[in-house]
Amino acid sequence: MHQVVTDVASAIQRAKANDEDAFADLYRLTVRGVYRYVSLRVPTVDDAEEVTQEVYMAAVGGLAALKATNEAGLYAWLYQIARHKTADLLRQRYRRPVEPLPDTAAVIDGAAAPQDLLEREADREQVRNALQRLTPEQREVLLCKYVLEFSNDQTARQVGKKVNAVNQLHHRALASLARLLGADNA
Amino acid sequence: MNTHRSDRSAFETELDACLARMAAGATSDECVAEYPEPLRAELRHALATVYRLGQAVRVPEPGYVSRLEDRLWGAMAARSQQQRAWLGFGVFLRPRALGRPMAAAILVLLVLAGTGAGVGAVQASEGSLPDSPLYAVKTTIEQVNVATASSEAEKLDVRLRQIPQQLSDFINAFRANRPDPMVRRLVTRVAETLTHAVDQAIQAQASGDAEPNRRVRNMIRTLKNRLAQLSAGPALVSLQGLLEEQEQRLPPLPRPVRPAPTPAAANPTPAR
Repeated sequence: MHQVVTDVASAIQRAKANDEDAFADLYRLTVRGVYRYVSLRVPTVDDAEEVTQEVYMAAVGGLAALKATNEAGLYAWLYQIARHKTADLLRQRYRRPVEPLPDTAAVIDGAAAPQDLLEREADREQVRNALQRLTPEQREVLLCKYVLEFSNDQTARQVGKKVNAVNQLHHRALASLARLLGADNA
Repeated sequence: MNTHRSDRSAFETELDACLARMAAGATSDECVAEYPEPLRAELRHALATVYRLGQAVRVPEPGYVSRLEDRLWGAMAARSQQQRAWLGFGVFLRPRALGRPMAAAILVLLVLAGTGAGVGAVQASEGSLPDSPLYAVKTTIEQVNVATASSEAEKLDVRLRQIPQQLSDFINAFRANRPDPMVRRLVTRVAETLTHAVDQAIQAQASGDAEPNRRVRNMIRTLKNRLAQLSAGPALVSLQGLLEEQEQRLPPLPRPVRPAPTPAAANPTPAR
C-alpha cells in the first residue's frame, strides 16, 4: 500500500531543501516498490534489506542531483540507484560466492515447513536466474508491470518507449520467461 | 504486421483484464474460460508465468521499513547540518574581511529574506516549532551563534545555553501531541547539539581540562530530571536513550585532589 503524497513535485523540492518530513513522505511512497524490485535481483532477505538501505542512503547523499519533478522521474532515479547497488552486490557475490540460507525469520516463526521454504527459495532462484537471462529491456518491462505494479503508461515512461512498443516487449518478455522457467523445470 | 500488433495489444488488454479479475478473487480457470483457443492457452501460460514471478517477490517487513526510516532521518539531519555548515562557511570564509558580527548579521538577513520575514522575526522566532517558517530563522541563529564564538570554551557556553531551549521546544511539541515527524526532528536537534557538546568535553578532558565534562554531565542530569516529569511515549524513550548514550561517552571525571594531610592532622595529639 502506497503512502499518499499529494504533490510529489513539491515533496521533492522540499526534500532537496533538507525537509526531513518531505523525504520521509517520498521514502514511504517508494520503499515497498524499491524493496520488491531489489528482492527479485538478490538472493536473500538480508541482501534485499542491505541493498534497499544503500539505495536510500545514496539517495540522501545525492538529493542535490535529483532532477525529477514527478513520481515517474523519482522512481526512475531510485531504480537507477537500485540497479547500480544490486549490480555492486552481485559482483561482490560473484567474487566471493556464498550459499544463501532460507528465510530464518520464517523458520523461527514456524510460518512454513523447512521443506516448503527450501522449495520456495529454489523457485525464487529459478525466477531470478531466468530474469537475468532476459534482455535488460524485457526484464525492466516485467519488473515495472508485475513487481512495481506500474500501469502500461507508467511502464512506457519508465523504459522510455511508446506504449505499443512496450506491449510488444512485454509479450516477448513473458514468452521468454515462460520458456526459460519451463526449460529449468524440464 | 499491423494485425500482428493489434493482436498483441488485444492480448495485453485481455491479460490485464484477467489479472484484475484474479486480484478481485476469480481463479485463473474462470478467467480464461471465456476466451477461445489458442488465446485461452496463451493466456493460461502467461498467467502461470506472472503468478510465479509474483510469488518470487518479497515484501519488506514493517519493522524493517520503520527502522530504515529512522536511520534515514538521522542521515537527513546530518546532511542538513552539513549544508548549513557549508552555508556558514561561505560567509565566514573571510571573517577578517567581514568581521564576525557582520558576517553573522548577513547570514541571518539572508535567512530572513529567504523566509520572507522581517527583522522583528528574530525575536518572534524564539518560540517557533518546525511547522513555522520562523523555525529556519531560529535554527540559523543557533548555528550563527556557535560559528561566531571565538573559542572552544565560548562555543560550549553557547551550546549549553541552547540545549535547554531545544529541550523546551521538544517538551512543548511532545505535550501538545504534535505529529511524530516534528517531535523526532526536535529530538534530532537536541541530539546534534548535545553530541557536539560531549565531543568538546571529551577533547577538553584529553587536554587536561575536566570542567567541560563536569558541566555537560550536570546538563544531562538536568535534562533527565525535566524529562522524568513527562508521561511515556516513543519519542521520549528515544531522547532518554540518547541522553544515556551521550552520558556514557563521557570519560570518568578525575578524582578531586585532596590536600596532603598536615603532620598534625596525620598524628593528632590526643586531647588532654
